[in-house]
Amino acid sequence: MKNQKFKLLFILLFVFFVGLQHGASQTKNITGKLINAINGSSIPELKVGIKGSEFKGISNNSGQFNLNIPDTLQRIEFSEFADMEILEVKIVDENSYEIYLAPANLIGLSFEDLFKIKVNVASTKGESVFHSPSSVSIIDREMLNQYNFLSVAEMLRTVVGFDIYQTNNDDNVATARGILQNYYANKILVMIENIPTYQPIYGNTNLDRLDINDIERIEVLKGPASVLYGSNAFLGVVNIILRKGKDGDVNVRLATGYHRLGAAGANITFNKNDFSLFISGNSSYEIQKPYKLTGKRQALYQGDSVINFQRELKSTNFNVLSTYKSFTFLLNNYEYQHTFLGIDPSFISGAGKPMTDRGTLLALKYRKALSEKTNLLADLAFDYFKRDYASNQDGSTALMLSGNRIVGTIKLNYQISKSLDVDFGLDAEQRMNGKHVSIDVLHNQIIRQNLKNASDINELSSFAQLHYKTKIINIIGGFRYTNNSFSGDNYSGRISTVAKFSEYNSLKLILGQSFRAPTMLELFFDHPTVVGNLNLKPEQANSAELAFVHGGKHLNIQMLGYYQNIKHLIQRYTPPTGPPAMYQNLHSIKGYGFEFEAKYQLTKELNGFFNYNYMAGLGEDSKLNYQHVPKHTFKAGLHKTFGNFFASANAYAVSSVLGNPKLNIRIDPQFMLDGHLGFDQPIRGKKLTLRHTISAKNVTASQMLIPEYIRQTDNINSMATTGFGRRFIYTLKISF
Amino acid sequence: MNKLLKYGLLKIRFCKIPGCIWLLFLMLFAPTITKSQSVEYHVKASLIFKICQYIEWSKVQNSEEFQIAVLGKSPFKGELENLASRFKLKNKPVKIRYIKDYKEAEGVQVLFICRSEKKNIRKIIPAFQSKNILLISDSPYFSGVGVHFNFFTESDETIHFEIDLEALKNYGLKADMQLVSIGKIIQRP
Repeated sequence: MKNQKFKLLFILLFVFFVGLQHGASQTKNITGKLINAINGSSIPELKVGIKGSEFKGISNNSGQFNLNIPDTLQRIEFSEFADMEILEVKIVDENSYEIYLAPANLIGLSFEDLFKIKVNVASTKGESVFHSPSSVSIIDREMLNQYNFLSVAEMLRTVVGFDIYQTNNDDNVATARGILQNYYANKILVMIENIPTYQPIYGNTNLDRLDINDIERIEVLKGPASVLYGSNAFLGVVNIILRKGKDGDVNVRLATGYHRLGAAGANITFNKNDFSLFISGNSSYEIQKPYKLTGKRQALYQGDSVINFQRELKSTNFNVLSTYKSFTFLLNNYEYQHTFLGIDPSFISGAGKPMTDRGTLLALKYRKALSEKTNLLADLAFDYFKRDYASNQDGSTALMLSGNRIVGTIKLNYQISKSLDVDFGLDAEQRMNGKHVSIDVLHNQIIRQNLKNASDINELSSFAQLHYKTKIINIIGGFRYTNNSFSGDNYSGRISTVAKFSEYNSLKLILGQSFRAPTMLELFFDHPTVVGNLNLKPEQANSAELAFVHGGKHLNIQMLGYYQNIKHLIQRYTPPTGPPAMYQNLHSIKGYGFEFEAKYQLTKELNGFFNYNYMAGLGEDSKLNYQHVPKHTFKAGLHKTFGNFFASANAYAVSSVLGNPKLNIRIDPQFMLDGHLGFDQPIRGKKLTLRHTISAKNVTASQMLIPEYIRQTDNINSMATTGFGRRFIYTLKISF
Repeated sequence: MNKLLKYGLLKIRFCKIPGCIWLLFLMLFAPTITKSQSVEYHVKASLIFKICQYIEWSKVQNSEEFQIAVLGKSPFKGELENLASRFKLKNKPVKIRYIKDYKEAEGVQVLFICRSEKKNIRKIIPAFQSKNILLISDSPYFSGVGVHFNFFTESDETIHFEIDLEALKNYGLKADMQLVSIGKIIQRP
């Protein structure tokens, strides 16, 4: 009897206990990730719900979501997604899922996109950059959001082996593997949607021609790449891919901040059957905190208003990207204005006055599969550029330059066998209508033509590239022949090999050559201060690099060593007798370096990156370049989400460099830290998400000095760059 | 001692009962995951609809519906019906029919031949030679036997199709060049 009572009591206690358990924890947390079944990318900002539950969440920028669901829910069935269809739900582990989605209207996709969908989507993976046969780094939208980058330059500064310098004329000069740009950033090729863009006078382009709100990702290829992309891909390539969304997607970005910053931009996507259209418009301005000159400069320029130099930036751009069947049309139109630091030798020549760049890139791309084994690619692009800026303190005289390029490319890809294919094609380019004039602004008269004997420069190249790919080895070997109307014939070769020796590990060996033909400025400039040189030889780069790559589930590592030899480097050289300076092929620069790149995803909520590079020159000639280049550079970032909140920080540190050899003053090691706090705010019942981010840029208010390596005037040791002053920025991103 | 033993035994037995009940409860309360329909046939259904948009039938069909028939043991699980409820083909509502015998395919514009028809394929193909019906399948055994579009899976687990241009011509069907340019052409000896 007692036993029966005890038994009954035990059962009652058990029932009570079970009831208590369920009463105490009524909900449980499940996590997951939304993945695009077509390309394996994560899907951000999409509402996630469970049928039979009112608990809803929204995917963050990594496509990840957290949901609290009733503990009693017996059956997890994800609710339907707006405009997307669930193709597969993969159970990763208990309470963790991967949801593979495709547009609800699969028929609306092109055949090419339907052919990309993997039937076993669980194995869907984007091609790993780390197994690509080039040294490529990618900064994607996810990272862009995590660290609230405000410009392309900020994004590029995180790439190992890449840096952003500033010359006295130009903002944001991209520099690869320590080879300094001489006044203008013409040693790195910038492409928008694979269309090269640069102006023919200086050979550079403006990195601020696109707004960060319109960028899906940036691909950065380091090392000589002329064989792949032509003459301006001398030391690297930056390819900017625009953001293309689902039909009706609208993305708005508003930003405001201290010292005085305002930015607004929006883009919209339309998709219907074989037609897609992306349109965007953006505008921004910033008046940065006054920059006070210190040290020697302060003493020399005490009466000069430039002591309190205050940088102003204004930018507007308009973009269209439209695809219809095999055709793609691209338009990028921009105006970018910034104050600059004058012209050599006088520090007051136009310093603090605005310099305005205007440009238009128009391109038509055609992609067609001609047969089962043959693909045709044809591009036609028109690239226009104009710049004007004051050349004296009161702005009464100005310089104006303009020019344009027309480029045509035709390429055929032929699949010889399953593992072997060949690319071959032709590029034709005309750099034309180069003008560089000095103007009397008050009388609106041309004072002098500064490109007196300029003529168009024509360039014709043919190229071929063989690609052999098996599960273990991936080899690309190519060759380019170029005829430049001023520089004559040039031959470049490139071979890259990736050998995969285990599931996660591979070795890369890349041998590359590049060349850069002299620009119109370097050939034809005729000015009392600077003259061009018709006898310039093209710059040539040769490099060899060896890399170990580990591409694991949570950790990607690339360790790379390289050697580079740059011949016939074109530099502006002022003789001991004084101006005019002249463009000359000065010397050969030899250098080597080591790059370590790691990206890690420790848990679903925590990820980060760590980059380190070491660079050094070989020989006395190389010292002229490498003495201004930090030997050690560290870049790191850490990002953590807490439900709908996130916090992140990214840091940049460089070792000491020489500011100006004449002054022999070193610039101390520098450190810059940015911090960000954000919140994703889903709006209930509406297809609208708000993402609030507050960023403290340059928390330590470091000056981030750039060596005065170009002008080397007697009183300037360094220039402050984007890092100067602490900035607080609030950004609101609205998507619907 | 006996009491202790009994108590101990009971304790063990009682401990086992709640354990079993716990398991039962866990099974009852543990969430189960509902898998979506097959990705493979989701894509193939979409490809069938998309291919139809790029095909011209030489004979004008008077029926008010655009009919797609599935012959044999169907691998589709509602994917075709789902599309038929949302899209028209050739400006007509789409009707999906499931048939067991090829002779039932009268009046259809498209016939999807399932793998289960492997044994009958040599009879099926000639039977449709004058019928102006688009034949689609997804079997490696049906490649080159006269099926117009045959889906195959690449080593990277993506779906593609091969096209039999000669068979299309013989059946009075015309494929748009876009289809021809992206499909793998069946080369006859």
